[in-house]
Amino acid sequence: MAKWSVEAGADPTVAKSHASVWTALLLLFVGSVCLAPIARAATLTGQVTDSESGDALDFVNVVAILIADDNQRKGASSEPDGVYRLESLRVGTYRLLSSRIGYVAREDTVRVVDPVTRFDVRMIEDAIQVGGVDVTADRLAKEKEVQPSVVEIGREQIKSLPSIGETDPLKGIQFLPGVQAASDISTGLYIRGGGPDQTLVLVDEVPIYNPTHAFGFFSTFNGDLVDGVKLYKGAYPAEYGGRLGAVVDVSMREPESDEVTGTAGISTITSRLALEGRAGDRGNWIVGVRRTFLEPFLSAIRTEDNDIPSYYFYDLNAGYKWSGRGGDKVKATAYTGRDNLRFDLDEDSYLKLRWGNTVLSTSYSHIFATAFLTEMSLSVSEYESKNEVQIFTTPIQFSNRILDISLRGDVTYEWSSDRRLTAGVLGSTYEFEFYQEFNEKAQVDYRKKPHDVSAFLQDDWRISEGLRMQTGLRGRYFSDGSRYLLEPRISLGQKVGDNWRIKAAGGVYHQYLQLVSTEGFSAGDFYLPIDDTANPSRAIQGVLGVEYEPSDDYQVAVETYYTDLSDIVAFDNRATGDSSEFDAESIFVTGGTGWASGLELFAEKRTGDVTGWIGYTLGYTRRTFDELNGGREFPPKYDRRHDINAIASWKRGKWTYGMAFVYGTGQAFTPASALYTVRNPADGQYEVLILPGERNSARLLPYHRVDLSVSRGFSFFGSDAKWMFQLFNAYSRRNEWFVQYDTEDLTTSPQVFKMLPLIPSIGMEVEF
Amino acid sequence: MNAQRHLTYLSFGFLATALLGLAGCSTDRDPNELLVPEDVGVLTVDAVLTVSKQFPAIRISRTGAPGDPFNVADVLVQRDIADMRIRNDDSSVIVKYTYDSQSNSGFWVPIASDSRYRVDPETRYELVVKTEAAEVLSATTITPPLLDVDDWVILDDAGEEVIRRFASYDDVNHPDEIYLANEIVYSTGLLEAQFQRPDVPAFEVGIFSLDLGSDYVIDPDFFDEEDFDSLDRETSSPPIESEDGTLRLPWFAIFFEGRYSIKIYAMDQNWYDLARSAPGFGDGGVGFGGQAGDDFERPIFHVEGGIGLFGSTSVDSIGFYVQPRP
Repeated sequence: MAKWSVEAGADPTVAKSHASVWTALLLLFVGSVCLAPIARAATLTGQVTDSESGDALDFVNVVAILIADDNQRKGASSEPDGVYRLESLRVGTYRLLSSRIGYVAREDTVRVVDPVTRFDVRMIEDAIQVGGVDVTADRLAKEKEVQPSVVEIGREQIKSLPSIGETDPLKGIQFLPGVQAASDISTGLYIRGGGPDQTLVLVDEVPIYNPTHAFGFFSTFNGDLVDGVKLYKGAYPAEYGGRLGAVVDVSMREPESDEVTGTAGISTITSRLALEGRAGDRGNWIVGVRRTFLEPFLSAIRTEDNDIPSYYFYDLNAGYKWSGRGGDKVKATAYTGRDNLRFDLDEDSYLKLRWGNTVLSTSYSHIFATAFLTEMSLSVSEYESKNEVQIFTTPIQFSNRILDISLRGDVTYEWSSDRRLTAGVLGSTYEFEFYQEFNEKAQVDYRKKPHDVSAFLQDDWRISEGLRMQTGLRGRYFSDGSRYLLEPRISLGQKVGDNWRIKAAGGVYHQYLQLVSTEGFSAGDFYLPIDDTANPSRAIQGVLGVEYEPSDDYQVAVETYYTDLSDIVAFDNRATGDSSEFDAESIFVTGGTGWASGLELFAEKRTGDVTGWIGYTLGYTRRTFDELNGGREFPPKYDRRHDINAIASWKRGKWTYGMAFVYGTGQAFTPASALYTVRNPADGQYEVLILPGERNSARLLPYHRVDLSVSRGFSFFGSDAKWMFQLFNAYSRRNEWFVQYDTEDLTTSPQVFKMLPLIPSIGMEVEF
Repeated sequence: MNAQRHLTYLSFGFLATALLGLAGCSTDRDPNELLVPEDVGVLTVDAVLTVSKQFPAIRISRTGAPGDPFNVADVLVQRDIADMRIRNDDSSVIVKYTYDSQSNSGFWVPIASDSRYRVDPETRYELVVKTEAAEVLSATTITPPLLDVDDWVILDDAGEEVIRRFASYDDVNHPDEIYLANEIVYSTGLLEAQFQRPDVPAFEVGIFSLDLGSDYVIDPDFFDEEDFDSLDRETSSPPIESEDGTLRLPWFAIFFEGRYSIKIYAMDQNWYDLARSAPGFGDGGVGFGGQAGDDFERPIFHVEGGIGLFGSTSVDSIGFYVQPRP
């Protein structure tokens, strides 16, 4: 390890620079900005750069250890502008350890004085890749000090979770307390009593509207290319908006390698390849492709007497990053994925389904000064689904599309060592299309192009040694109905003693876009805007939590939450298929109210050979609509009283063993309460029908399953490789999915459709 | 360190034991556990008035227990009704009902002196049923305007041009001649009804194959014998709004050669609401998901003191003959 010793000087100007730039913003945020920052402890800050190129380096793990007392240590990760910040340090002399993959780890001695000490770190690139440097950068550290209900799962953690063939970030977060899946084959997320449409799913901050392959069996995210997933389970901050409940922000991996390197993998279902390398002096690129290879097998077993559909999906990812001197960065990313299903029954009858997402985004970030970071981005996100069915020569077509073009600008200003201001503007223009044609006649041709403009201001303020507050305000304008909304947000974190922290957060949230979806699996889902015929849904959330961290190895957290819902909507199943009324009032049952409340316990072991977590959730949620269930309150299907999740990973030499356990109260369903008979006037046939009882008043059996995995590293023609064997639902419990009452043959007992049995899968991946 | 290791082993041991216990839990269960018979014995009305026709026979029954064999004869209310009548708003029409003991088929029919009444269009009628046990069931309907289809046409495959017009009943000397006048080869063009849309919520189409025992005009590769046996000679559509006053009739509802009658019904609000909201009723409603809660919701009955349908309709029809494809 190289060693330097530099005497650093204090930099008292940090807190004052560029204040004038913010005058206008400060006027908008009078309430909290009038209060002057109070510095009560020393802060060590600086910028980490590449010693040769001068490039700012992010994700550098910087740890300060007080020489006089080894127990006094702080760690942080450098931001995209290379700036790191260690706060609440005792005055004294520290060993400063800096490390990052591809660079020589270094140790410096730094004298920290009150109030702010600046020390820049220059990292030397390692000619030989440094192996084994454990980058456990905690770039969420600051946010976690104040924001409850935020969880980040890194790439390695995602890849270590048992799955069916494919590493899947969205399925991975279904193992967290407070998060549940609709079924084994759904990537839809039900978070803290909210439906899947109440969760905003972002990929590199760009919304993705239907992130599923194979009817929800897999998400659109290629595990090889995902860097991590950040999940806000509730009371999320002002920089996000547009959904009532939660935010899932999937970060795609940024290319970093100077050589052409890659990962290739094959599983039971797909094969995939990811490559990355250098482009010129300052650029890096990455591409990834994934495709199912079931079709040759399906084709082989397809005969004239044996109708086997043709199905495949693929996705393509590409990224380019250019890093300029002084921290400028340009990023461009592209994603496209499609699912194709074709089922040819005979010359008169067939089924063709095709759907997929395309996301394009480019961003530019610039550091005007150490304390002033700006970022602009332009993004396009499109989801489209085109479906054709022909039954005995009668053609039916239905398609839908949503296009979101957004321009975003964010500025972050380090007001002082204890205070950071962030502001941003987001302008989006949407195109919604829904088309339905029956027998060559257009039945529905819906097109709408609303606009949405939102702006936020957020103040992150460390008020005292242990108290941190984040306040924010988000303003929103939606063109459909010309409505303006304000959404205040606040979160507080108070450190108690050395290991305890109490956190609280709350906010107001609105939602204009509503998902029309099947709940059991994801296919043909589409979004529709709430227009001026109905009010946008609103949620008021409150979260209170306590965290205990006896060491960096363990964390225990308890959180309780309450959400009040108003003006919520539910898709109206009773609309006629050719209805030309496509306003919100006609499509949805509107004006609903509801609430969700619960308690979550979470214990995590983060380091060592054995890592994992155990979570428990006690949850209640209810809905009330005048038009549903006779106006009486009812639980939605995903009201789950008890939910237990346990994840464990055990590394032993080249072997890694994984286990995931899920237990949940059975899903609510509506039972049959009687049989009755009436004649269908159109064909004169008498029908015996089932009378549904109180909505969702019965329960399926409890859901539980265990997934197991084992993997082993080995050398494959000189490259690092790994094979994996996984068992989904290891004890093959046939969990109940839904109940079907046969309305044709009433002598048939109610049928319970079961979810997936034991599914083994194997895979292999090679890094080269 | 030892304590930590012991804790880890203890946790694994506890978890393994719990999992073994859970793995042994069966998911098989008595199907009756999925039924909640809380609405058994509820009065059910079944009556639809047709504009310009006599007041219809009415069937009153009670709901049965889910899971039990449903025998209609067991649930019909045949004797213990004290009074049943339909009247219009100004009571100028009061149709009293009596049990049809002659056929003993479970129907209640207008008393002989009231069989002269015809159902008027755009009129509000109220049904009141009182049982011997003092239960009262009531419902009202507002009848649709008269429905008169202007043209029954065959369009080209693109649905753009009329290639043929069907003869109407006015064009033939005897109703039976309509089938000869309107012969068509299966799946030739698109059959469309064109009319001045009356002010009703929606329409339903009833398709009737009149030649029982006639051959199939379809022969799909993917059908087995059971699939063919399941094809009905009477089928109906779900509710269709048809905002432009045209109804395009799908060939996929026609399976047999021979004579056909197609009827278009203008629905009143009560029939429309039941058809779109009752699971499994007349193939009605747009359903998403299974019957696990999404679209398995209590129907809209518009009946006080019970459930069922007291609705009204106006109807027009055409006859034609389907020849198999050469």
